[in-house]
Amino acid sequence: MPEQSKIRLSRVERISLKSSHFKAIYPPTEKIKTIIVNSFPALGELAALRFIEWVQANPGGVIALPTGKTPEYFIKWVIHFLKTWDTGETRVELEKGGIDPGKRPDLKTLHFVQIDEFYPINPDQHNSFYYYVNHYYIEGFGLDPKKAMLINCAEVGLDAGDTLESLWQNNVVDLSLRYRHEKNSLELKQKRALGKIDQWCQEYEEKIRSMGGIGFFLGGIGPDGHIGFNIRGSDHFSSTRLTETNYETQAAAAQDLGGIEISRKRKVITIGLGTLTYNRECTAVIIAAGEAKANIVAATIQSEPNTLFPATALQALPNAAFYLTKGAACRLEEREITLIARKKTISNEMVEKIIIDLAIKKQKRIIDLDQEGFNSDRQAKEIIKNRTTMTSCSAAFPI
Amino acid sequence: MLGCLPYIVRHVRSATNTHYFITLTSGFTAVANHYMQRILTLLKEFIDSPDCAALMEENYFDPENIDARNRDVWQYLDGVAANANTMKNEGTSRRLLRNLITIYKVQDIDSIKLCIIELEDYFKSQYPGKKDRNDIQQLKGMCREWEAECLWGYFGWDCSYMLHQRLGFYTGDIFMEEPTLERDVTPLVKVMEKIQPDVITVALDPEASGPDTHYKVLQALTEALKRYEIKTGRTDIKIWGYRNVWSRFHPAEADIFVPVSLNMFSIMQSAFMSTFISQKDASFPTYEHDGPFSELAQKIQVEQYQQIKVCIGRAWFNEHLSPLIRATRGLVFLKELSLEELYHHSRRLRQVIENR
Repeated sequence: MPEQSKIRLSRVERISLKSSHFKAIYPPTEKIKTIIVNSFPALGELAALRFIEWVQANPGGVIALPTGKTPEYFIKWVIHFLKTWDTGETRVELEKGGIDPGKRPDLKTLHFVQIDEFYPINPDQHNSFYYYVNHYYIEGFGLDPKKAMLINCAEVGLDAGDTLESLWQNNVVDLSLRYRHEKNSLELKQKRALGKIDQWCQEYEEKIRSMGGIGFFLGGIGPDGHIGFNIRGSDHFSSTRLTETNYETQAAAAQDLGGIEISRKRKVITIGLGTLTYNRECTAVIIAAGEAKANIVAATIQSEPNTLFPATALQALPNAAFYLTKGAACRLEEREITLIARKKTISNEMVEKIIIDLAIKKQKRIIDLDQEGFNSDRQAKEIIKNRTTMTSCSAAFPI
Repeated sequence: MLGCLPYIVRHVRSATNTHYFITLTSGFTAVANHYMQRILTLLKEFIDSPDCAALMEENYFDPENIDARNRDVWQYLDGVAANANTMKNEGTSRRLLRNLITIYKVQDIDSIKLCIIELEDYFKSQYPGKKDRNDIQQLKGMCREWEAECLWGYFGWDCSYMLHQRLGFYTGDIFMEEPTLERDVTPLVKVMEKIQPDVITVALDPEASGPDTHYKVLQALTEALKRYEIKTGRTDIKIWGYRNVWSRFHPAEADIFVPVSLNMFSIMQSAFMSTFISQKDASFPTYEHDGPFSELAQKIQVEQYQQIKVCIGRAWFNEHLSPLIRATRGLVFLKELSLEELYHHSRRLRQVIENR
């Protein structure tokens, strides 16, 4: 586990960390550096600044950027900075964030790697990730399309004359065909296609590795902790592959795909956790906003590497980080205690919250909680300290 | 709706209370194409029936015919009561036909049939999840508005108490627009002036933890209430914030705890499953539960009851003088806010979400 002094922080991160009033990491509870920002746009801005900082230092590097709603402000900020780079206002903004405005980043030099994609999906569909990355990153950021490694399902594994629709009727892909004999001519074609897709995935992986691996990765985190489509249970050494998803991922994808009935059937092609960590110098940043993500974020940051929490694989990377809004960070134990300890006065609501949590944890009525119980819980102990003038629990906490 | 239904039901049972249900966005993105195909098939069967011909004769499908709109709902609910699919299907078909006439201005049977064929072709040819053109968004949205009318019809509220606003920020795009004053807030002020509310319920999700629509609705409502307060001088309006399947209140955040009995669970399940037909198959579920929202809502309310039972002891419930408390098997958590508190809450949320 990294010690505080050994934590690597970029200039952008140091500046952001300073204004967050937290340390980068609280060992031994936390296993990976984490920066908290005040708002969803600020999260996007920090990610954008870190990205630009990385590009300035790594022209020609390999990047992998996320799809979905989470990167909304990241995309907006990067485009804003690029478009207004030479204006006085933006230069001040960049400098304030830790970027040298004298060194305009050249995004055309970058190699882009698409992280994942549903399979099968027509790449022309607006809800394909292929469409998304083309629209927002290749066009939006002005990347060089020739240097982009994309997952175009219409070109992966198909024989001449075949289409995704003719090969995978109703979008059903039976992965058991990898291991069993086909029963008819369609299954024969499908089996052949699966073999080709698997080979394609291996070559995709080889290409990434031959470039030295991914240099900058930005991703969100799913409700089950997935990064890319590396769902809960994924091997930390996994590589690019065609694979299944789990219910949580299907539910999260339902809105994009037009219903769970559709997303249940879809398989996915995703780079692996091993792909991500192949380059030990990779700057891997996970961004998360909102209380809905707080539990999975806390479990991931506070857990030893474990296949139950895919993003714990990133602990192998000294440059990896979580960037969170306050809502997403609200279950990080040490930071909560730090916050309580810092407060001169604690609101009754906060006191209520801690006492209720303690009662539930101990499975005891509030009225039956005793000093020992409070002392056994760090948050409860902190509020006792904070209200030391009181002599008994019932007097201290008149709820 | 599920996050506050048990409390609302208790209030609307009293004839001295008036209840309006305002849909600010229709929720068309949560209506799957296969559902639309299914109800178009029902309509195709209905349109050739003598019953349909008779209704056409009496100008039943005139978009302005409010009484007939209510009859759509009553027909459907009679079918629920009789457990008769044919009656329910007729109610659904009547409303779908009315919606087609409203949107496409078709009048005679032949044009309507042509319209149905075109729509069937459309739904068959679109890939799922594709952004729909405006008329389809409206048609899908009207299906959900119809479901809301059926739901509140359960409790005796007719269509005149349902106001469908279809606010413009709700576009179906991945990154939605922000509400604007003229387009989204002004219509809401007019609604306030019409209904003069004492209590308003609204989804009060924390930062980025519910649908983006909930957040934008909250911002539009807040702005409308500010304007309404200035216009009328009313400061006594209460807000009941609810959370539902997307996020929950910690008990310390809530200040209204509503007992939910098994009886109320049955009502909630039945009302949801019988009326929110496009949603009951849970095409767009949460990651927490593989099933209808009403099942998840019940699960959450039971968990909330268990929390409070631990905190105050089971005896408080089991030995209570009130049979309602003794019958409690779930709890709804709500947060009551004054207007000032709502403004403060919305401002804080806006700061976190938009940095403004």
